[in-house]
Amino acid sequence: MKNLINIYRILAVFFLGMAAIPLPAQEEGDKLTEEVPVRFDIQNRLSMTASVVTITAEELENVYDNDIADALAGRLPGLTVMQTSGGSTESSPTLYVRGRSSFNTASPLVFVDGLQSSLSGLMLSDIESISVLKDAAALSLYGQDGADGIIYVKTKRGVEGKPKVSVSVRHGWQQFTEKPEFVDAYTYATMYNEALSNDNGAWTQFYTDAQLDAYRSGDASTVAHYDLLYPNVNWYEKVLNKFAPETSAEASVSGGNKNIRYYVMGAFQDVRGLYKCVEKERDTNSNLDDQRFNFRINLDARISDIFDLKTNLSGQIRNQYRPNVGTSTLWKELLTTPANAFPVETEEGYGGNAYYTNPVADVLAQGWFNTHSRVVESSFTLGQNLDFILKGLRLEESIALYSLHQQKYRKARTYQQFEPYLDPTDAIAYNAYGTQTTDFTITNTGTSYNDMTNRLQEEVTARYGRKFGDQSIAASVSFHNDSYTITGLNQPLVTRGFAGRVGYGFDDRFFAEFDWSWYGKSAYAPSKNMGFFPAASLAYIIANNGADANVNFLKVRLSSGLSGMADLSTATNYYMYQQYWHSSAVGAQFGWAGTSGKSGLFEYYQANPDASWETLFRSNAGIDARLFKNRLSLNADVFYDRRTGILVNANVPDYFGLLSDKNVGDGVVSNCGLDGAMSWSDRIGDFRYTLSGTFSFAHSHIVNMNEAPTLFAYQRQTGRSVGVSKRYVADGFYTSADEISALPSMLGEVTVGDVKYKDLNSDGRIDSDDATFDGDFFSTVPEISYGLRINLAWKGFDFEMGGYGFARRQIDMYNNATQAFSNGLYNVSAYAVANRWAYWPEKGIDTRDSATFPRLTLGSNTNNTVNSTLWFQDGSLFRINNITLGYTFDKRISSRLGAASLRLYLAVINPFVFDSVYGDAEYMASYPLMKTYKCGLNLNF
Amino acid sequence: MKTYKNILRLCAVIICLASLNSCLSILEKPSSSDVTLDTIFSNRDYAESALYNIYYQLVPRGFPYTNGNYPENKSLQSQTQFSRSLLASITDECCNYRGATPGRYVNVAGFDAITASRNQEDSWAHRWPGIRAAWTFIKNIDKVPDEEIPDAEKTQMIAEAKALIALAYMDMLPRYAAMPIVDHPLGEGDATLLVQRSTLKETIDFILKLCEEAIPDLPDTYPSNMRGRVTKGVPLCIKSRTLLYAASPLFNSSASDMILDYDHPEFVCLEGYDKERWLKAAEAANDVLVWASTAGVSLITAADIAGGETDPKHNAYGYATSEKDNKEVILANKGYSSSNNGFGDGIFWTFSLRGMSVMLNIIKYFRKADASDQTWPTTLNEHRPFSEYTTKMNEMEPRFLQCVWPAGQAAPNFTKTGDYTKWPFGKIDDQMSASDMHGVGPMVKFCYNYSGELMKDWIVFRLAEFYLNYAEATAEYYGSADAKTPTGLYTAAQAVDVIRTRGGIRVLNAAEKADFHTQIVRERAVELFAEGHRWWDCKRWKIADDTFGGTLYTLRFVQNVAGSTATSYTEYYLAEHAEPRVWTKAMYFYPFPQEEVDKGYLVQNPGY
Repeated sequence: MKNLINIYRILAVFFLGMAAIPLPAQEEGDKLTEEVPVRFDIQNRLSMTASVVTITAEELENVYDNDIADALAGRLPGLTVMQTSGGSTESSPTLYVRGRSSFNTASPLVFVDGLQSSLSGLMLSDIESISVLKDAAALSLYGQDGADGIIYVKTKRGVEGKPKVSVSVRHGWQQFTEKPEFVDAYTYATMYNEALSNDNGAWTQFYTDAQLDAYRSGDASTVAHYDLLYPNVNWYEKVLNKFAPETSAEASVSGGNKNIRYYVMGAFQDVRGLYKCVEKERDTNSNLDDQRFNFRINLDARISDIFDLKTNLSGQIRNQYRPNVGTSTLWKELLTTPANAFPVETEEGYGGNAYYTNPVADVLAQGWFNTHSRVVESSFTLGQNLDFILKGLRLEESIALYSLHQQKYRKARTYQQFEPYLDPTDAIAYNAYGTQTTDFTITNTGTSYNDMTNRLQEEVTARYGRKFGDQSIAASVSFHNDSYTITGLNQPLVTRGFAGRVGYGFDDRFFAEFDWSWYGKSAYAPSKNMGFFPAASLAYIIANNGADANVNFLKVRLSSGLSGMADLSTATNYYMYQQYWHSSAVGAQFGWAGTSGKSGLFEYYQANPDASWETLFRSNAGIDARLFKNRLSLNADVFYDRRTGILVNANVPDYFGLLSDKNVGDGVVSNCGLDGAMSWSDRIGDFRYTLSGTFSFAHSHIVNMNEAPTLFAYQRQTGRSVGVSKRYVADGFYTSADEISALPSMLGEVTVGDVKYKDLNSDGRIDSDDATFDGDFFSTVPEISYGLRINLAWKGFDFEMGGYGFARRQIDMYNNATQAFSNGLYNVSAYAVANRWAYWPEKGIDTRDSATFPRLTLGSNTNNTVNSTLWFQDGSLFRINNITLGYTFDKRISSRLGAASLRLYLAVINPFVFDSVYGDAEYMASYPLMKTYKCGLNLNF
Repeated sequence: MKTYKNILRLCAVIICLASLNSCLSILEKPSSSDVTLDTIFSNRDYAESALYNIYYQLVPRGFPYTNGNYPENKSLQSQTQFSRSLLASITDECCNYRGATPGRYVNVAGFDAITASRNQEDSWAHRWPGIRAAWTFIKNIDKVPDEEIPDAEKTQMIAEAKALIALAYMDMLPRYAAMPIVDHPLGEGDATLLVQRSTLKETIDFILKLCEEAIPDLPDTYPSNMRGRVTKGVPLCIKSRTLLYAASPLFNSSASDMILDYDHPEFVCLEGYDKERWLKAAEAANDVLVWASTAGVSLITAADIAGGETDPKHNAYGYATSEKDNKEVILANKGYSSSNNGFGDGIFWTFSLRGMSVMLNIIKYFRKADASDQTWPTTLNEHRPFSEYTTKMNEMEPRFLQCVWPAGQAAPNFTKTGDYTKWPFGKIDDQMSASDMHGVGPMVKFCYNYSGELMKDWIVFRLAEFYLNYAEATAEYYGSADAKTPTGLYTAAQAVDVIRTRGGIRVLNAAEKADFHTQIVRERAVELFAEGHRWWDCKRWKIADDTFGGTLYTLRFVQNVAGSTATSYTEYYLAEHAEPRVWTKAMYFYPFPQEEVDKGYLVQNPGY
């Protein structure tokens, strides 16, 4: 027995853990003393030296977005959220923490209760808090997973007391934020004539005046077969409804006693799409539909003085339906099918022709595609309080499992489409395209590459914390093992290593902390796959006065250290250190044709035995403050990054004879910026208000990317920001043949009205040497993102309005929603019609002075569509993404219903956007973002 | 109670230690079934696959790869990396006019070391993976057990690999002159990876040495399903062409005769004229002819073709340059095992977008059927009756009509009918803009008996070349067209006569023998038209400033359509300047990519 105790003592010396530090009294729920989850620990905000921003369930009260990530936009300083497409059915937003400090990786990893997971599996009722880990002191513990930032979610747990029941139901109606304008048949036909004339250099009509008249003012009484031969179809209206419904309901029960506590939650969410499908039955209905069923059981149990137990079990079943045509394909069809292409339906069946498929038929006649996914996450943590060995020592062992299984199921049929035309006797005849199948074919498409993933994590942690007079010591160390398997990649990725922290506190004023991890991943060479990531940090509380002071609280923080990011997707070979041999698909041919084609085995990309991860050195300085009687709270951080080891191509001589892969860590990027949040709260009588804002700025600079030498300095990407593309500088349009012969373009055949570019190297022609990185160019990821929010409360009423914005951002405006007649096919966009260059004096057309879009053409016109300053436009925007008005009934009323509280609310998600481009600056030419009107109630018992 | 507590404590310790146990195993990749070097050289199938890969990477191909798309491992086997173009399109043979094709890029912008898009005639990088694969093969083939591949066959395979390395170096020689000599798979055991350029002489000697080593171990022929592999004739051909380059004025000169001033004459010339180099070249060419006579390789004659004697167009030449595996071909690139081998796209029949048309400059080298010279329009933009053009075309020697498709006539050598009967399909009208097809007519070489196939062999070595190599070198060495080498089968003039006779025109007369070099220049231009020789020939003779730097001329056809009926038009043709081309003396050699020079091992060629 004595030996055992000695073993424990030895272990205890080895494992040092964190103590709970006694704190000055603060208000309950005050952000200054909130508990912040950090890796394998919970820290008190007051003693934290790291830069971590947290948003709690309370602050998310008015969030009703279907995807939680959408709701985070503008709420957390340092986090940039870009919504990509509408409807949770299609895609989740893209997240960046502190911009992009690598040109390869960028996305922060998400941890839920210590387990690597994703945000899309969570429901609102799950969430206790969401934190963004920003500096080295917080990230170094994550080894090669930390450098792109971490989003850490803590789920709700039971608290001692009587069972608390909470019910929330809501219903909503979704609508477009902005719908592209649709060009009618007459306008299309006139523009087609203009494009043809532009190509021919003389006015040429494809559509005759009679046809144009018919499109403009014809009807069935004046033109034979008018509806069939002169269709004017607004495809948006034919395919899309004005509104689509959505419903969700969540219920939870929590409570417990001193031995066992529980939190149990169940939720349902159903979001429909905008497609017009009359059938209610799922059998034939092909509308978008995203159904989610979630549950969660979080238990905490105390077994004895020594042992305690914590388990989480949560899961999601998700059923997603879409028409049997890809959403991006369908949206391309909607945008690019001309109004006069064909009628929606003919007496034979759906309209159509050889060039376009019928968007209406694609939705209604092809069946549907179903993705069914199941996620189970569970964790089991056994704790031991080892005070009997060493006071303040605690051990925890966890095992956690994440499992995703996806099945894809398709119910398909094909349809025939018919093109009406006049036969020689002036009767209607039809060309038929495609084949008609009446019965559905049902296929289970099976599992593909990432349809099944499994993650098994094990963690052992020892913590120690003790206070000695004014001084406190806190330390912890943990071992972590994570095995991640994706079907199709039969080699599991194993992440393994140790991490720990040592903290010292003095007088509850001064805090110092050292964090480290020694982590590795199995993707690197065995002898070189472990890395050490240390970080040191300090915090000093300058002032901590009572609530009546003007400076209530002031703290400064400093941190500096390393974190890593394993980039396993940039290089061609997953195991970059191993030399691979491949077989070529095409190879040498011997003998007479076709008799003897031989495939060849060849050495694949050159391996890099030293392949490694990106290392981020980040320094951070921050302040946290409360001023003016706690009315103003403020936090702000500045940071400077230098990221090394970014994978780039090798730099060996060509005669070496192996193709170089992007597997050499010579890339270096620096990145700096600042982020912060401020809020002002006060009350005037019964009226309470809060104004708050967040701000994030990050500017990157490529220091090295092994770039090949360029002839001209302006062509160097090194020194520019990450993600900025090379562009031609548009310089108006060619106005005469002389101008063209003085400055010919090698980018394509040009004529008057085509885009003229600046001849940057003055060699008398426009070619690839004239594209430049030098200019006020930004990438699509904004350098500045910010959020503004106002909360008001008066008696039972509450009101919130919030939004987020981007600045220093540019987007490519050439896409399906702005194009015109690509290669002679496709619709012409309203954007092109309004802004095109055109000069036909005899027709009274002259838009030369106002044009911002090149001449219309039926050709491919590569000169006009290259990346240029004509197409890259200011992508700044401000979007109000939430307005909520709620009313909480008086306790006397709610108690009559047997409820502790009852609240009704109305909310609008994404009501307004302010930007300076055509369409919505955040999504282009895809399923649009949704403006959603919601009403709901919260009921607590 | 105390026991209970102790049990709990014990449990705690066990759990803790058990979980720590997993920390101790080493973090590494689980075992897998990857193919490694040892797997490859363990059995016949893998080893043969490695050999075939060398063929795939190193045998030149002059037809472009469709759309310029690269195969998986990016090492094009094409000699020219033009998408939709041929080497002929940057010489005075052809133009490739429409669109910004890379061929046009060289023509409008020349070469430079930095902008890769301008240098698409060749990629410095693309042969090295093949050379590495060949050395790796040579080093490791012995590991294959004898019961899989017998020793004799291994020896032959090594010889094939060596010949292919020599072929790759021969291919680079006129482009880059002196090169770094890579004579083993670099990497393992090398103190440095830095291989600098050897001298031009060392480079040539390296090619010759590889050929000498390969010759004894190679067979004279292969079974029909293995045509396309390296025979004994291939290293003989490599020697002949390499020695001809070495003897020619560009290389066979002293530093003072360099095209451009340059600090490193050893990289671009042999530092002194040596007449004996012509003898070596003549003997090497004669070796090919001698070997051919014993190995069943001979010129195609009318008698070799069923019905050939009666064909008025005398198609032996067309047959020899178009038919797969004919007995005149010593080595051909037989395409990829894929339909995308670029032939159909490079010689694009509709000429709506791209394709080759023949320049007026080169057809002046062709003769009339009676061996006299044709007169072509010399006054620019003078309208001449279209019928005159047709008459002139029909007077030309038989080989001309195997190379050029006269406008307004049926394709001279097609069996395919339909749209292919007449060019340019009734589109001659005065609306043809500057970007429409120019030229004397479309190029139809390689298309004898064309019936729509997408695959054609690209000729690497054809016996006819070596008659001309022999004739030129012999006459240069002895100073007489009637001389022959001690072991020679022919005199210089006889060798040329063999080619002329097969081509369907009379033998050389005395006046022509006296002006023999001029006849060699003409004969090579005609016989080897568009086969990728002229670009190098004009440079080795140092006449490229005149041929490529001079003005290019073309014809243009105009058909004035009155109304919409095709019956009432007047048609005429005229001569005019073709598009201006860039030519600089630096273009005698190619630049190394600047990023390679920056790696510190290469000295850039002069003028870049």
